[in-house]
Amino acid sequence: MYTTYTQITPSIHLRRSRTLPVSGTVLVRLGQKVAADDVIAEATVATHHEMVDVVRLLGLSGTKAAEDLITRKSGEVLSEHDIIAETGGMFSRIVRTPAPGKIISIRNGQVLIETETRKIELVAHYSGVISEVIANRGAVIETSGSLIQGAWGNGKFGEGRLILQAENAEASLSSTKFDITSRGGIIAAGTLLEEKVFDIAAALPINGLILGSMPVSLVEKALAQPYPVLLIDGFGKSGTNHAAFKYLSMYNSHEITVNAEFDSDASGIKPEALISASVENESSRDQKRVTAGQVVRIHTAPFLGQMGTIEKVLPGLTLLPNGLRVSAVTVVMENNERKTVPVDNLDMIGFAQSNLS
Amino acid sequence: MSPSTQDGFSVLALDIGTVHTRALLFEVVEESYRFIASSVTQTTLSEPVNDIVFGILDAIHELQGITGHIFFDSMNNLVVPSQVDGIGVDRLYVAYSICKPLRIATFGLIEDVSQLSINKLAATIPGRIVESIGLNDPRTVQQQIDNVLAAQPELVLFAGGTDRGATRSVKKMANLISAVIQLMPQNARPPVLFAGNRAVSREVKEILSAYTRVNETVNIRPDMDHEDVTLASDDLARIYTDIQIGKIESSQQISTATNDTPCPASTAIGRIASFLSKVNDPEKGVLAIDLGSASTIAASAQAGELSVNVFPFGSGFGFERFLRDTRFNEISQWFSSNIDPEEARNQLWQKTLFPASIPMTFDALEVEQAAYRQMLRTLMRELSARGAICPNGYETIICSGAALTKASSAGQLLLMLLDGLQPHGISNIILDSYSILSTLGVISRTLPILPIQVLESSAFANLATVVSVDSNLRVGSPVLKAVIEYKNGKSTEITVKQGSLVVVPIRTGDTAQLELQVNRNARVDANELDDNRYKINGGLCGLVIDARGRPLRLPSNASVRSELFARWKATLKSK
Repeated sequence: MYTTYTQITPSIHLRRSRTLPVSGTVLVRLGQKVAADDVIAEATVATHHEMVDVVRLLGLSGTKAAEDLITRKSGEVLSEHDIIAETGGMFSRIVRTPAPGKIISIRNGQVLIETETRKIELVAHYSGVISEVIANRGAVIETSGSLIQGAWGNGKFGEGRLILQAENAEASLSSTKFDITSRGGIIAAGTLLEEKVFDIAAALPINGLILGSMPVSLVEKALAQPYPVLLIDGFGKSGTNHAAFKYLSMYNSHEITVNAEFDSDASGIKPEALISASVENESSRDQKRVTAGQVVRIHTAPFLGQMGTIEKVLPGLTLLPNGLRVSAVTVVMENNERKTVPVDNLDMIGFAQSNLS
Repeated sequence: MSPSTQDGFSVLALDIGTVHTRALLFEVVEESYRFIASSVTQTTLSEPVNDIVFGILDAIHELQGITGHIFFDSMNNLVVPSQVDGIGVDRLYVAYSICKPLRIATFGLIEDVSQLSINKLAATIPGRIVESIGLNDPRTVQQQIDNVLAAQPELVLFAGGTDRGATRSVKKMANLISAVIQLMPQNARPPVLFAGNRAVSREVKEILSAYTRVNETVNIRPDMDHEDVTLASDDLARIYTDIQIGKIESSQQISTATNDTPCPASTAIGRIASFLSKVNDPEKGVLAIDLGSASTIAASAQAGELSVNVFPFGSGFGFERFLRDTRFNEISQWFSSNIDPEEARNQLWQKTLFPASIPMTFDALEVEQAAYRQMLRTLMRELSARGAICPNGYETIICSGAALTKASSAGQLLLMLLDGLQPHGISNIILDSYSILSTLGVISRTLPILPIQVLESSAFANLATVVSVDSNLRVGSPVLKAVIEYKNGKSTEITVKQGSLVVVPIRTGDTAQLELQVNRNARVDANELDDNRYKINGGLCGLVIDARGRPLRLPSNASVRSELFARWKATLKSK
């Protein structure tokens, strides 16, 4: 059996691929150092086109006649009011471009013009070194530090000083925890239960929010925030898992980058927070199968966010109290209790591996 | 050429889903193909393995362990065909439902003719129509171009013109498609499938082939009054497979070894539904439902006429889409009063983050099954809106997918299916507990005898025969009298009242005769009961008479509702 893994590790070498959605220009070179907010590639995408039907506009009988009258070529750049076709003579009928742009194609008496474009900029999101240039698309950035991957994010990016505003992993972030020193920081806590906390945070402003969990009723509010919001364990009120809390405590006041990009399909893109640090002893267990001794986090109620160690992989299918038969393991929890947990309800933690996203 | 079943082939079939990969073995036993065994492992396309082949090999190895049939040689290579020493397997087939829905742009001429038909064709594969354009589209040409570009389709489906019909309009639409496609980057240009007027297909190809690959299939609308997407859907399935399998690294290793092109589960299940509808009562339908992780397939067939619809919601990776499109109170109406709605919402949305997760407690299972009930309601509503529901009801309903086949008890499962599907008439509800259905479908093209014989065997479990009674009578009023005559000659008589759920145990393997006397203000099915007698096959839940009404109307008061649920569960011995 395999299980998924979530990286919550104090030391890891990281490789992250950053690519444009379309072909463009890469602005960095191999070996170059980049900061998290550096633009490393850019591209231009067309957002509006105009189709000029010369046949119809000039009242012609066929496409051949139109093509004889079109005075432009594919690829030409047009300025405002430029003539595309004209009948000539004293009483010339003229077709002009509806807007400045570039001619994409001329076919069957129709002229397709790209009239509006938009620039896309690709931001690094990680401070590090360019270890690979991906031609026309982007680059791979290599970095190292302490990594906390999450389960959900609101898609935003931010960086700042980590400010842990929780006495324990279950503590809830309240509006009273904010003051002038929170400004520009990345605030971390176990959970958040009041909508107004988002508004207060945005007004300061802060540069990011890291929570263990949050009720799903607050998701729309989180999505609307201008700063990244990252949930480490998911939806609920249980706080955060102890491994993550340990590293948040350890690195309190350090500079942290939060990339809350998240893809809910099977692509594996997870939101994550990275604290830059040099790697000392990186453990690189390349274990993908479920085995005894693995440290795991349970991501499903009633043990959401709790951690433990696999004691035994149970053979065959195990009958749960609710009557379902599943592949399961016994887990020794942090309080030394033993629980039977379906394999599909846990992921490995602290699986340190150089990886490419 | 198929040998006689006396010689027979050993057949290994793989069903690769988003979460699970199954390996199934079929062999000839006593001159007939039988399902021998199956194994289930995790699909390993994504992390932590990121290679689909690992899960496939795991599944086959596990099947080898279960059956003792050796599939691999000493170098750990899968042996196809089998060798004289018996190692290996004669035939290999693959059905799959693993891929993300394809982004599809459809183009037609008239909205309720070719455009409607091409959208129906699109619905036969796991896809999402991201743009649909017809001649009467109110947007300007410019807007149409921009919108299609922004939608980034991966496949274009194009229909238009009856066989002696429009040609100019078809060419005009082809020009529009070419204008869009040429604006796309070379490596992102979608292939086109043309399913329109054959008289103009050469010209369509000429217009488009300068920019992309163009495929042709039969005209799905050969004249105004006829529509047939079945043949075209097979061609579409091949193109879909080319696109999707091409995205999966290492998939070539498997697909080159198979005896037929790997087939999307939707197409495969549709073949079986179509076949069963030809051998069943031609007045009644067959409905096959596969509630998968990423998508849900519904194949509805009557007398060979098939409608396959793939919906972009499912029990795992498709769960988020379902939650986004569903009002929470449509799910929570199925909760018992002890369920905390806010906790339930958190639980359901947590599943979108961890789609393969399994409910661990009774309450968690109840919450998840409430969602599945509503998923089935949504499915039936959508099928009805698309005109895909058999008007005379379904004689056979086959349920596939872990969400529909795994529960703590047969009664629990049946109650969820009845609440969700709310069938009419008399239906046999069959469970595909081993997820055989899609593999039978993919095998059927080149080895048709196998699925015929396996369907006749006990590979599928009869969950129950359900008699659904419709009436406007008051709750508590008698709606019918049922007389059940068993094989041993004993009989039992039951009066069924409006609002009730009645179970008559008839064991799997047994049969009984059912005679119904229906109150004149109630109805089961007028066509069904010409002679009021019906043969009932036994099943896990026997015979169930559902007089709760159609549609099922739940009390608005949560406590009253909760008591009702408890009564129904007790009746079906469900927890």
